[in-house]
Amino acid sequence: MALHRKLSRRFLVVGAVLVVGAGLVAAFRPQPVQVDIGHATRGDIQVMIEDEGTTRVREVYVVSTPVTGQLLRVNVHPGDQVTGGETQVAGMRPTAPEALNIRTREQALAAVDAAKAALRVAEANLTSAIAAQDYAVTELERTQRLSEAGIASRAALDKAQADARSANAARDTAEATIAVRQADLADANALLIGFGVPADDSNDIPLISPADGVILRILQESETTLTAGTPVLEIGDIVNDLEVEVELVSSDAVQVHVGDPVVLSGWGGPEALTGQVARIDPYAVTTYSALGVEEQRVSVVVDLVSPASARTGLGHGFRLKAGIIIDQASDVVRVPSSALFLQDGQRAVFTMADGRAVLTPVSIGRSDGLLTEITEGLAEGDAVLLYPAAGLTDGTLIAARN
Amino acid sequence: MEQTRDTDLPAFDVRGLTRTYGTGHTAVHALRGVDLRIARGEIVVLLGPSGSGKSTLLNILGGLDRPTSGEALFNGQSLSQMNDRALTTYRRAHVGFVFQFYNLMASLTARENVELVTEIAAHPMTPEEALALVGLSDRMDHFPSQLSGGEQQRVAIARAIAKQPEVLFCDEPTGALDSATGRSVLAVLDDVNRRLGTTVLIVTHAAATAAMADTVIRFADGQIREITRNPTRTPPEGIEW
Amino acid sequence: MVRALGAKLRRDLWRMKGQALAIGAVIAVGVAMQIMMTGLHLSLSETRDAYYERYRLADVFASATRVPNAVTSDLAGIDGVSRIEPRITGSARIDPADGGLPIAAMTISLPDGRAPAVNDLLITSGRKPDPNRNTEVVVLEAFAIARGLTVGDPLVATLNGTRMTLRIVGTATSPEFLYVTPPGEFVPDDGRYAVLWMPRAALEAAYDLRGGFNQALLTLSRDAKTEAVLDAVDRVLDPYGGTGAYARGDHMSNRFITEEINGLTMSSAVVPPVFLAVAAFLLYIVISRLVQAEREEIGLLKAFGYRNHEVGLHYLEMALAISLGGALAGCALGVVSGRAMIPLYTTYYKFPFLLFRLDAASFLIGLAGSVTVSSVGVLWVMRRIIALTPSEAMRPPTPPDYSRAGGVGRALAQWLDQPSRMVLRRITRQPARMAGAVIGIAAGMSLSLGMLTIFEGFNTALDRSFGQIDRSDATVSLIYPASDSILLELGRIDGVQQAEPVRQVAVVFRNGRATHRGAITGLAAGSDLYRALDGDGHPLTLPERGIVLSSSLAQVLGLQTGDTITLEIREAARPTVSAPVVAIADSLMGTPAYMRIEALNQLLGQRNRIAGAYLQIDPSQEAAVRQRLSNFPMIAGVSLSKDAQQAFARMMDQGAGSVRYVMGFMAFVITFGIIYNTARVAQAERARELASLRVIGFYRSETAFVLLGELGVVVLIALPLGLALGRWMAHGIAAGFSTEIYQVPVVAAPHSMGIATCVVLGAAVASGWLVKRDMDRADIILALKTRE
Repeated sequence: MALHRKLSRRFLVVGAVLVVGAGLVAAFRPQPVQVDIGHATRGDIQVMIEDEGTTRVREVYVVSTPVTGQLLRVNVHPGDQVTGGETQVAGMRPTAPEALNIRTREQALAAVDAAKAALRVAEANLTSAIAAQDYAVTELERTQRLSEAGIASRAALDKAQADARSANAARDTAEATIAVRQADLADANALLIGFGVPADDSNDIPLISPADGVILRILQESETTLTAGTPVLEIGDIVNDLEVEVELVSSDAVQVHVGDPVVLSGWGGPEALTGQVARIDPYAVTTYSALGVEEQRVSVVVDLVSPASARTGLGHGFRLKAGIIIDQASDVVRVPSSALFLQDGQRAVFTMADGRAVLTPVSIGRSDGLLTEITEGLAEGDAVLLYPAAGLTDGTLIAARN
Repeated sequence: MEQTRDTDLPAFDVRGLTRTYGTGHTAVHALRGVDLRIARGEIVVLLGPSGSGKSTLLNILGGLDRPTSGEALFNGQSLSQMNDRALTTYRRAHVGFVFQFYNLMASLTARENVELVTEIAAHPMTPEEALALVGLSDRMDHFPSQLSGGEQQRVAIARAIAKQPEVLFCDEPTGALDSATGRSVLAVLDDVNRRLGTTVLIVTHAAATAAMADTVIRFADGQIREITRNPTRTPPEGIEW
Repeated sequence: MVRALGAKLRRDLWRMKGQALAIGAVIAVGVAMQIMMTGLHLSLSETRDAYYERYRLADVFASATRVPNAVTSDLAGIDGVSRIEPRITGSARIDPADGGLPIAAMTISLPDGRAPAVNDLLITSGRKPDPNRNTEVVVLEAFAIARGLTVGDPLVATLNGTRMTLRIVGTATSPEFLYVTPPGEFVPDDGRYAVLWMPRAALEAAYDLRGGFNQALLTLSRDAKTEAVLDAVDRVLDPYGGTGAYARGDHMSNRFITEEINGLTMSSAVVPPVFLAVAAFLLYIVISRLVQAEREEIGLLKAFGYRNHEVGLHYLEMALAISLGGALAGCALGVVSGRAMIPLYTTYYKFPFLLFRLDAASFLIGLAGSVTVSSVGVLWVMRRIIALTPSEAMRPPTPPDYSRAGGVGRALAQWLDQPSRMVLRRITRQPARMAGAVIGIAAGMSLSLGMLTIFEGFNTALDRSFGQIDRSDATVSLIYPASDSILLELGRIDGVQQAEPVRQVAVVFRNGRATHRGAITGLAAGSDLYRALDGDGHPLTLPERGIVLSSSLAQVLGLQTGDTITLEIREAARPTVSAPVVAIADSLMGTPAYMRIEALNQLLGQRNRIAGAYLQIDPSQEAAVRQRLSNFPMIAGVSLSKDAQQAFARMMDQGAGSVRYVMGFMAFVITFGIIYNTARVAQAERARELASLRVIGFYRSETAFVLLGELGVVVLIALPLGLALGRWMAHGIAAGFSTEIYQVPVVAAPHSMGIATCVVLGAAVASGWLVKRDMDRADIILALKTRE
């Protein structure tokens, strides 16, 4: 007891120093830096060239007018199924004549009057011709009787016969002239014909679909008069004949080869579709990029591989994102690209060991942007620091952010 | 500083002790060359008017002060050559002090005041023993504010002797007390000297006190005027101021 | 006053010079803080007010898409409008001559041949542009200085798609641009944002606004009702695509300076009183000790016929000597430190001039404060002086009574040795004085710890902003929202590893009567480079429908998850819609709100639009990427994360660095003052006891334990109290910052706690060492002879 008390002073002082010292040590202990941890995983890497693509039907059939005429209102609609050689998609009718303006109408009316007048003249001529013929025939009969009687000369008989014949001819002529004048009158009347002619479908011309497929676009829906060769509608087979056109920047197009697999996404459906590069144009076209600079673009055509059932609803001219796989590897070690950085010209990551950051040099291979292949330096499952801060060095105390 | 208690060796051997305060013409010569021998186990009374140097000598012998020149030996060891720490050790082990104004710790009880000393001493008696020696067994747990002047002084004495020192220095121990209380305090000092064999030095300006001493030293102007020996010691009860 | 007492005063002061200095230092620091803070407050607010008035800063800012000039008279006719200035503003992109990243800039039109009626500018070099020369431009002075541009230099800028080479004819500054930051950031970085003032005709042509304008600035009359004017302006401008008028109080630059000034008001109300309170406490204990020691003299004086107030006056004079001395030193220190702070302000607030103004009132307040302090201390002691009768005074004092105090901690005392018991009993006998010392030290410590914790909070905010929320390397902004195929094009650039879209749309948020002008940030669904975080720091998934509000915005509007918020979109078709609040995100800067970019586009009736992109760049190809990015006409600006980070860090180091030392110094002065004085007073009170211990044979160190032990206990109790108070103070300071500009997280800050503790310990050890040195030299014999 006495010993305790004798030493209590020292206990107290030493105790106080220890407590305060421990507190200070705890306070100044280097705090671990909070970091985000990712892992090296094993799996596939696909290096893709991505760009926007548009779908299109390979063979688009344009149905146009075979003749100049009146196109009847088109009653089919885009999306309607059509069968080649069978389905009528549109119809045509002969054109109605030109409309009359006031001058031509007056002229036509005047022509009708003239024709009527000419007909009356012709009819008058006929009457006159009939009268002449009657007289000639009567004369001939008389002359014949006289001739038989020997009173009239042969010459007189001939003349009488001739007169009779020419009188018959004149009658024929007058009758024929009447026919001509009647026809002229009909012709003059015909000029008066305008619109409002009642429909008569006996002369309709059907336009039949040239191929199987669906109606893609109606170019001319309402009734109208068209010259021959005007496009009316487009037909295409979106189920079986669809392909994707992708316009790649020329430097990307060089890296693409026919047969490269393509992943098509962003088309609106639940799953991405697959395709295959079918053709790469050998020439580039100058365009302006989205950011406003000139670019050379090459058209690349991608065949759709996914069955129609996987892409119901995908039509012509639809926008999607095409990712052309130009390089891939399977079963490789990959890390998130955000873990990589350069240290003295060498690629490296920070791994975590015993609560400290370890600078680990690595060799890298392919990258798809988000993940990068590690060829040397890391194994599957290794923990790496994502987005390492600038101040981190080898050996820094770190702790994973929870 | 373990020394053999050779009863022939004087407790203190003082030679040419001088103590001057200040310099130049304002210097105060408290001691001017004092030579002295103090035998072991005696009661020594130092008398003299104020400023005669008696307290100064006491302080030097008690290790509270250092001489300007000269020697003071305790059991053959020179006090004047000790540094502050050595002097403190000397006081701790060998010396007990009693002052005019008691100098007790107000925040400790009587017993605790004595324990203050017994905790740092090598061979102390228990606080209870010390307080019993001064007759205060029934007031052990009282604070100084609850004790009378005489009782406080007795606690001071108990505190001083609890470590069983070789020497007990008392500077005007009865100065603040009335005559009856003063006598009782002197009686305690006398008792301690007889029972424990402690050498007791008492500084006082009450001449009657000299009666209880073995040796009486008279001081004046910083020097020893006279040393007398009492063949017999008067019991303190019989002292009349 | 009698001459003898005067001599006594001088000698007494000299004798306790250490204590007087310590107390004087506490007063000096308190007064200096007060002078400095009120002086800065005065300087900043007066200069700001004068600047605004002289250059006629607008009271109301109203923007629209395109307003015909004739509408100006409609606006001028609104009740309360006293002046109006229509002008054209737009954005431009500057391509620096050294080929660096493109810089976003704001263009502002200047009226022909006259100064603008509202928002005038101060030409600091050169001249205004000639109205007939469409390629002359005046640039913001700060930008010119940062970029090393002078009058006569060319400047290549692209306005609305047209690239022009302009010529700088002058530099200027304007109250509208007192505090200017690059877009989206909160710290000024002069070289990364510019303002260009050009002739009206030039901008009319550039932005296709001939015959019209797109921003109106209004000055209101004194009795105008701002709310009513804003509503009227909105009504007038609505058909022209008005985006919502706002008052000067919402103008960003004004907001920042106002925040700063308010902060000074608050600190000047909190900090100086702490010091003066501590000084009052110390003067009280010192004077009261003196009175105790001089009881005899006081008794004598009274016996000779001195009256109470005459005696009291003597001690008052002593206290006044100390406090006035400290106050005068504090005034000088305050002026010096105030002047020293000015350059710190002018770095960030572009005043044309800033002088440290002394507030005469604050001098008087400082002096009055210190006089009050000393008077309070002495008046408390006066009671004792009055109570002292001459006869009582000249008797030796009875030893202090510890019998009652002994009850406390009796069990504890069992285990302690005597010196420890002495320490314990003394503490428990004078709990008030010990408590005063503990509280004083804790208060001083809390002032410094509070600020240090806030600074660690800023560092955490920086780490969170750039390490968790925005992890991109660069942010690209477009001149107008465009197709998201831009993301593919950006991704194609060699060295760009990732590009994520972003679109910000100006919006007025409304919940009942609470409104807030802000913007919605549209992000991609699985964004990785820029993410909204929840309160725990985990990334939030943005919902398909609905909006995520930052906690600061939710607080301003009084909304919670599940509530519905009204959004008045201020762009494109400007629809008003409702949206459910799906989550609350953690926020540090500003008041953002987040939606999926697809949902945001849909609200605007658009598809696939982006207004910018976050990029992750391969560090080995950074220079090449920057070069490529500079070449795109559609890009309005590129900002690198590390530039923003550096600007922030620089501000923290400059500003925070010096403040840290000042805080530490303050805590040291208070702690030293308290401990030194308490120790000296205790030493004087116990001189005899301590001497007795030495006589008994206690070594110096053991004796020191008895005296300094009680101070050690005081410090040990004060430390955890100070830590707790410091944390509380940090919360208080953080709450004082406007939640709309930035929110400072209060973090655990162990480092700061360690430093604050070390400062207090250092002060305690220093004062303890001084007292011990004094104790060691004390004359034991003399001490023993004193009467009490």
